[in-house]
Amino acid sequence: MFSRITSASIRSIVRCQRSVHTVPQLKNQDVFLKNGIEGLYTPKGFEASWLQYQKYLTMNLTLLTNGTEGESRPPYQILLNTARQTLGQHTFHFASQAHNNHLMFEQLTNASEAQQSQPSRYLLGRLADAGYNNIEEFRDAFLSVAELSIGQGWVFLVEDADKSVRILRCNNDGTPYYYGKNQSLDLNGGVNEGNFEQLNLIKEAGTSNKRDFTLPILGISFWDTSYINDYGVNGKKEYLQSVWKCIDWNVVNGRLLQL
Amino acid sequence: MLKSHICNRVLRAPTAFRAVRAVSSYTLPNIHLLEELNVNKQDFKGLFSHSTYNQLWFQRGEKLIEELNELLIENQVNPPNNLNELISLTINKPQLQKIYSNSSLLFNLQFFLEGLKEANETYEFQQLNEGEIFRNPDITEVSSNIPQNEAFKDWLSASFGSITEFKNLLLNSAKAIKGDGTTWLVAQPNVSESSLKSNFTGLFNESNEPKYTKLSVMNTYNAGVVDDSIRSGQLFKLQQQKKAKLVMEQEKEGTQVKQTPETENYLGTVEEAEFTHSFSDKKIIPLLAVDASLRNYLLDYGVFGKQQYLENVWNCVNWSVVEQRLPPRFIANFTIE
Repeated sequence: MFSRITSASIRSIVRCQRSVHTVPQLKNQDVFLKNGIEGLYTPKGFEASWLQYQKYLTMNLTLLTNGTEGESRPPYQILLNTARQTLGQHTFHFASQAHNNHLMFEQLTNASEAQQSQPSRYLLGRLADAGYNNIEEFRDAFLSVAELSIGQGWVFLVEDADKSVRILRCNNDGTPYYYGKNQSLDLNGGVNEGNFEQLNLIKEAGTSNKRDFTLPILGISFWDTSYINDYGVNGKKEYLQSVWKCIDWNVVNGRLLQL
Repeated sequence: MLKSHICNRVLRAPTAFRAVRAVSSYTLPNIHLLEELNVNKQDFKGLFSHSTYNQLWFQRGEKLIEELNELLIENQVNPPNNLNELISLTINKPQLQKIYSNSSLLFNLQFFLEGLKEANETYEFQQLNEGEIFRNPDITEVSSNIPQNEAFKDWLSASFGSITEFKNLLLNSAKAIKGDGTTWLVAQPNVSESSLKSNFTGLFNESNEPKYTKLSVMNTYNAGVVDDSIRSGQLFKLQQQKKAKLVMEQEKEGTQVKQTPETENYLGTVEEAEFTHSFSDKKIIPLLAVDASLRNYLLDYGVFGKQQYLENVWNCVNWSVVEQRLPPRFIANFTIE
């Protein structure tokens, strides 16, 4: 009699797992913390951009999801869950930032090591389809989106459902996974016809409950947190040039369909 | 002969260059306190280290000015005497978006820094750790660095309840800005600009001047400005243009113009709301700016340091400057809700 109650309660305890969000361990984290990322970050700069900032994001995420279903979910699921909730936007911010930042740091490695990796032929083929004849052409387009943006944000190379790729800018904490929270438009100042059309498309997609299958394959942050320590307030351009040289293309290639 | 010729050119070229620049370009405004501190490489007591304000104002400001001057030449815009006029000139012109952004970013930054003074007490800059997240907010009545002017204090209390409530609202609004942005204390008039222009207001206003009844707190993001009434109605205009174009095309093709039935419960679109919403049409006056962007605190306080940075900003607000920016207060005998 007693034993049966005990086993039932144990089972229910197992089902209600409690959890906190923590900073994920990067592949070379300990080495980076000691030596920095060669060609990109000093040890202090790496610690501030990855460890400190990620800790700030995940701790806040823990506090906001404490006691809710978001507690044991990864940031990716939380951001999808809260993207459409008006009252969940604080949670969305920390989840989306934590996910994006992790996505970026997974791609980074020492410059000398990164130079040995190359974009796959498959990726170059998709880029050519999108109008970028070589990787340099794509780099210039990609980095200038970040450089010309005002304020904080992300620039992504994303893959659409039909396997074509395009560049996507997300202002502030925008996410590439859902068109309603891409936050690609900044409507301060004058609004041109292109922006107005884009706004209408988002609205139409929202009312018809269109689904979004976009996936990011490459993402670069232009938040102040990712460069201010090593490159200074005005250092965005220099940082972007450096970060490009530290992309481990093996990681990026792995995010695409493997033939 | 040859030698003198070269000399002549070398001497003449810079003068001519300077003259052209002086007519059509801006220079970084002079903020007295910062210039003074920068000479001796002193810290901004209680708020910024020397390196930080040097980067925030002298380096970033210079970069914004440089870009702005280049853009003005590139777009052949004849710059007005002050930034405010340049902002009004470019705010609803998408082709001049970059000029607008740079000038408003500069205006906001200057407005923020000009409203500051050094704190009475020194603060030791240090990278704060995660313990900051768990720090309880200070709920005691605010006592440090409060405005001295009784009339201003009275207006603040009438608008926000008390000085403490005002401080909490101001700093929490700034804290809620996740990216770049500025929190403002503004004076808000009772009627909109458009109703001032219409005949009705003769009943309430003899002078047709906006009357300032209320102080408010508001946020702007990235290159947003406080008084953006000139840009309102842009989306509505674009929508009307699109509709007109569609009708023309349909008439050309000879197809029936499809009318969408408007039911009684029709809520209206965002564009229509924006166009008719009188709030955006009010001539709002900025009084105090708090820059909440990350670059202001990451270097001296660390990623966990925003709350501390904002507390320090409060201690550095120069209330006498804010009081000078105040419009005359209008107290209505009766209010129409």
